[in-house]
Amino acid sequence: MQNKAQITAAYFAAVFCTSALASIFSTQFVIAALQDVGVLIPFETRLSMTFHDLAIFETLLLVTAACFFVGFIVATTCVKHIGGARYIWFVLAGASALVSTLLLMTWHFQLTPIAGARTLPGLTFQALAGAAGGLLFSRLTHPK
Amino acid sequence: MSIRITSKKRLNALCIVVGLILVMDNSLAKTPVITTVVDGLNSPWAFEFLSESEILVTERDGKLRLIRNGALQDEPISGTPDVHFAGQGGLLDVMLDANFQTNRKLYLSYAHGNRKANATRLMSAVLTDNALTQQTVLFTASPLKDTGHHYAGRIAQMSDGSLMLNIGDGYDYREQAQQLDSHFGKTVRINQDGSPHKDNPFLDNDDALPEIWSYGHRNHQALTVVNDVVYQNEHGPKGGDEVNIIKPGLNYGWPVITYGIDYNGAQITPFTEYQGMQQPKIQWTPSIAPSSMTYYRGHLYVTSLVERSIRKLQIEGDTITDLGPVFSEINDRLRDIAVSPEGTLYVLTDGRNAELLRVDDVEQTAPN
Repeated sequence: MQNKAQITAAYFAAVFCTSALASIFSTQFVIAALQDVGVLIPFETRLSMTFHDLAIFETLLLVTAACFFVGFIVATTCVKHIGGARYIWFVLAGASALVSTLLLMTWHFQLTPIAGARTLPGLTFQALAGAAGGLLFSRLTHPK
Repeated sequence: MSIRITSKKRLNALCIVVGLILVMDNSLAKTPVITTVVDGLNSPWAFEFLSESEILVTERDGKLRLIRNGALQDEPISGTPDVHFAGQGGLLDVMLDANFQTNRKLYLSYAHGNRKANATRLMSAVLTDNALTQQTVLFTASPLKDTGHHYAGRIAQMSDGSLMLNIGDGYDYREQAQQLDSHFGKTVRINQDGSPHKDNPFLDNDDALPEIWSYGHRNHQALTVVNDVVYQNEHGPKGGDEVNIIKPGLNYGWPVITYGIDYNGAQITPFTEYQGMQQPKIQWTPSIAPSSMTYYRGHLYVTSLVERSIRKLQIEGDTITDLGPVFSEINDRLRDIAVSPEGTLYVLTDGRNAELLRVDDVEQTAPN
């Protein structure tokens, strides 16, 4: 069994991983939307905007930390009582926790909090970011 | 040599001294007189003078209130439209027709629809006693949207009687401000029957909506016409508030160029300049949240929500210079500003229990 320090470290690693990916994915969808209306964006500009947007890391960390906390408790409970592949529960937990939080915020504020999640493909990539965090947490807390 | 001072000369000297004292006293009167006309307004958005003593005020929950002789009438004007009162939506602007004294016609803008499908709409009606009649929908922005933000909504009238209306980008649909097949992020110009104006710049473009007059706007809540020159101010996101002079067919850049960033810190675009897009005449970063604008004695006056100020702008042809905040005695979120028929400046505060304020002694206190 993992000790508390290892679980906490894994939790924060997952939060950092998902927040970084969510930011990077969001930027790419924002750029794609600008390109769709005819704006030319050179690769180096894309790169610098992607790095700049890591400024939203702080906000994403808080959101991801909160939703992963709930999501991973639910996943742990499912592993214990339902069984099956452990990593699948955490992948599902990471993806659904982030997406449901974004949808809840969108419903509450009547606007999308992350511009890159305004479309279905954009939201899907946010789910992938959440899934990656879930997978990382699963691996770090149950190494094979 | 002796000098004799007659009683007539004494009287003259006395008059000069008294005159000088009055002049000095007048020139030292630096504090404007701010008077609360009424309070207790519930989230008002705009006001319009029927006469010096009668003022209409819109409240976002759909009420059109009447202030008569400094008293807010209990009974709102009847016949107002059903509005979508949520987020930033609701009953927005009110404007009298240029021939109101003869035709009693006025215009209202409002959020129409529901949470899942709503739009900025413009209607006309005739004001008879305490009721609106002959309500006619003139224009509804297309497409419908499912957000509760960025309706814009300010109305203005050109000298030929045609109507201008600002339509915001709908927040989540910002890129559509660049698309001519959408009304989001546009200023439109229509005739009084709702048809597109004959001088609109995209009438020959089959892919463009014919009402569009200018595009590339975000949430441009002011629209002031002076001798058919159109001035606007526009809410930027986090920074990048703008003042623009609006000309037909021009692209004002949102969201391809902006001096602001997203509320969460992300970039909206990497560009502040782009070919074919207009630079603002003034940009405010950090944001002041400019809400409305009026033209008064040769200057523009802009109200703000976040800075809680009135800024005075100087116009010199196509150049606009920000002279800074005036009337620092007013420190509130400000929603609208207008000049009464007799030339007094009035300001509307924002939110619940809002006030309509009268500002006297403007000429002596406002910087040049």
